[in-house]
Amino acid sequence: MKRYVKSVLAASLSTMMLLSVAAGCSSSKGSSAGTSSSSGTSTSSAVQKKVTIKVAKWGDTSNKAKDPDYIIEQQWNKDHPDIQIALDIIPSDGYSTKITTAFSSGSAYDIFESGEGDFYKWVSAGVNQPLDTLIANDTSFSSASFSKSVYNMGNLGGKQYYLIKDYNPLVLYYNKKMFSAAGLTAPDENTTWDTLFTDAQRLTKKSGSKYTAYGIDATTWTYALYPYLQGNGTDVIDSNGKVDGVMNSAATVSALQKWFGLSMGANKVSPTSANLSSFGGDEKMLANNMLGMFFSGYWSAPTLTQNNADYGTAILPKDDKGDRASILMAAGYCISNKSANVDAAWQVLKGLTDDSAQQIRVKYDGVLPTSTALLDSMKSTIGANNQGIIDVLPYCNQPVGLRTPKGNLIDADFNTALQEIVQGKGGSIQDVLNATVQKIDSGK
Amino acid sequence: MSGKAPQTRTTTVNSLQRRENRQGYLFIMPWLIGFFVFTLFPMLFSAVLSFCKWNIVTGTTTIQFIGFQNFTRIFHDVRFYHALGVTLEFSLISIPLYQVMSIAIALLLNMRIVGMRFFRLIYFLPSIIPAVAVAVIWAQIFNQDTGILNEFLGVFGISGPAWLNDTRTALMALVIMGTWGIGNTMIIYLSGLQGVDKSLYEASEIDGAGAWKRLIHITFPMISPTIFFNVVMAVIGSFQYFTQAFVVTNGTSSGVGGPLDSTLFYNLYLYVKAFTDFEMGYAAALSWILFLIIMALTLLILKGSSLWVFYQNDDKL
Repeated sequence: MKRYVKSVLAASLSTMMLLSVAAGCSSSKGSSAGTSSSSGTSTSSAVQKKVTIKVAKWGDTSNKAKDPDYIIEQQWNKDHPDIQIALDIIPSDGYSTKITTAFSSGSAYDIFESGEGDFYKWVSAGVNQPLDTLIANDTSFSSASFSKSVYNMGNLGGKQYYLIKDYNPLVLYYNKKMFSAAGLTAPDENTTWDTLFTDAQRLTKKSGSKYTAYGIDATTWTYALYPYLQGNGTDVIDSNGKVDGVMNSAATVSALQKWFGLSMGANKVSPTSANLSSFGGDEKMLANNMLGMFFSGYWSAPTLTQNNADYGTAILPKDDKGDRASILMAAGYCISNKSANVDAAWQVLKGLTDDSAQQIRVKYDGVLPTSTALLDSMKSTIGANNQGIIDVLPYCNQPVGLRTPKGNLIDADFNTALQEIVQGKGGSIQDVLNATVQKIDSGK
Repeated sequence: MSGKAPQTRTTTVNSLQRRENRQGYLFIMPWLIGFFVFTLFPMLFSAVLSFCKWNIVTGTTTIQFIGFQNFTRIFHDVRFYHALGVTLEFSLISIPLYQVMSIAIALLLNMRIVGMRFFRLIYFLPSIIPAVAVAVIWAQIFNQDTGILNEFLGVFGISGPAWLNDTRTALMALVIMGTWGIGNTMIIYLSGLQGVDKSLYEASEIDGAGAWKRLIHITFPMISPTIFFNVVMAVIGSFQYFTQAFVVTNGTSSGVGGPLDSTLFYNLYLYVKAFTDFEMGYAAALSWILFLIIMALTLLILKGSSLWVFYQNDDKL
């Protein structure tokens, strides 16, 4: 008996190892026990058995209970025993990598969230299920309730790939206390970029050589720069997607010189990105009266409120001719083309973006609802501090990432150009922009 | 009769030997399975992939054989040479620095004074902290406004740089960060130092050799195999450098390897190609080139070791 103990032990170890390898290497073909069609042509009636739809979104994993999509998931799972949602909330830092590895390992999510900057990236990678057939065959769905311009953000090259779950316009946040202490009028519809920059000078405070307060965050966030350029009669691309003569135009160079004058040199009024990370970001700096103004989406409002900041919001300034602009940022859900349960996924996608889901998101997140009716009702409840978020909506343009299929690459190259200017590399602003245009046009 | 007994014994011994062999193989089987499944197979798969085009998000069905195209592209890729340059620069600065520091601390910790075990523990402790935690701690230390490093420099009236946010200092900041992890190397040197025969020191003292001469002519030759081992490991480690650089640059406005690619290590570039640009075939080719570079450098060090590595009882000693 004793002589077999060693053999049995060794065989058991090997078997365990084999089993664990087999378990680890097996990939679940779809996430369900259901049998719905993957053709995308059948309606919800084709869903016969209980299926589980895997959904991925980014968010704060430490406070899952307050995530609106978690609340939506819980409610959905109670109401829909036949189609269950398995929500995976992923930290935003590693989100893209997680989605990528999920696809490559054969365990892709049925539905995943994407920011508008990545819409084209996923579509050109060929992982999205076009929604047009599903929409056409579903009489219960209507896009009429959506704000048209917001709904169309999910339409790329004539095909609907995303349903927008929420969106945000870029707005100017200002510190009421600092404006009042400096004897300045709060920014409003009459404010020009020049008066804004002059105000920023007056809000900036120094103690010896150390800054105790900065007037404005004029760092290199491209989403803040695009409306600034557009509000000054220039841009980085034209309506045909051309960059040469636009990104490197005299008007863009002149506007950028003014912008970087705020964050560089002895008379700077803007913190650097390193300063911002040191002091906890725009919201904390404003709450601690270390920052007078910054540009952001509605998502900053809850953080400012939590930090008891005395803040207001305003539409973005205009130029001498009275032109102004802002930018719309959005997040949408799409169905993966690897989903084995497209019909069930479509039902879930509708549930994640319908009016009741939007109401929950508006309650818990700093976002605007995609439904025009909900937005109208929100206008009266948003509060005086956040009024600028509503006022800026008529001036919003699409981000560069959605204006052309190569928009996200142009955005990345323009961002690199801005970094080069900050680091003093590549010569003058004109030189840097010329080189960037050349790089974009050569496709390198 | 007399001829049968040895035959039976041989049969019994063979049977026992076979059973023990079988048990031995069964016991190492978990390791063998792990090696084949988790090491050998991925290596072979990546070798195949290096000759293919594969967008990883589209699944294995889209793998397409393209011959040597990935390799020819790599040799025309400016960022490849840049990433290789960053890695080489880091290696050339960090490897000698870490070895000298490790030996110096090991020499101090090899002295016979009260409380030495405590000091050894203190110096070794940082190296057991996970690399991600180390990177996060150091990102705070390097903070331009609130970091203790610039606070310290401020005492002497020096205005500290933006460290990780400045192209001129970012790589050096990572070299400084690496000093935190020299505990492992130091402990290997310490064990090497403790293995040096004390009689050699006694004899040299009698011959009138001072501390410096003893260090040069006894300590270094005697621990040269340890130096050799640590240098080889350091070369491999520095060419595979990834975690700290990734943690401190990922999610920043300048992106992975920033600012402006000043910390774009070879492995970071490989990661970008695989998981941001979805070019897994290209990334696989990059990984095989890295393998060849590391292997060539290791062989070079191995070849040159006969000139400076001495083993006990070696004729050259």
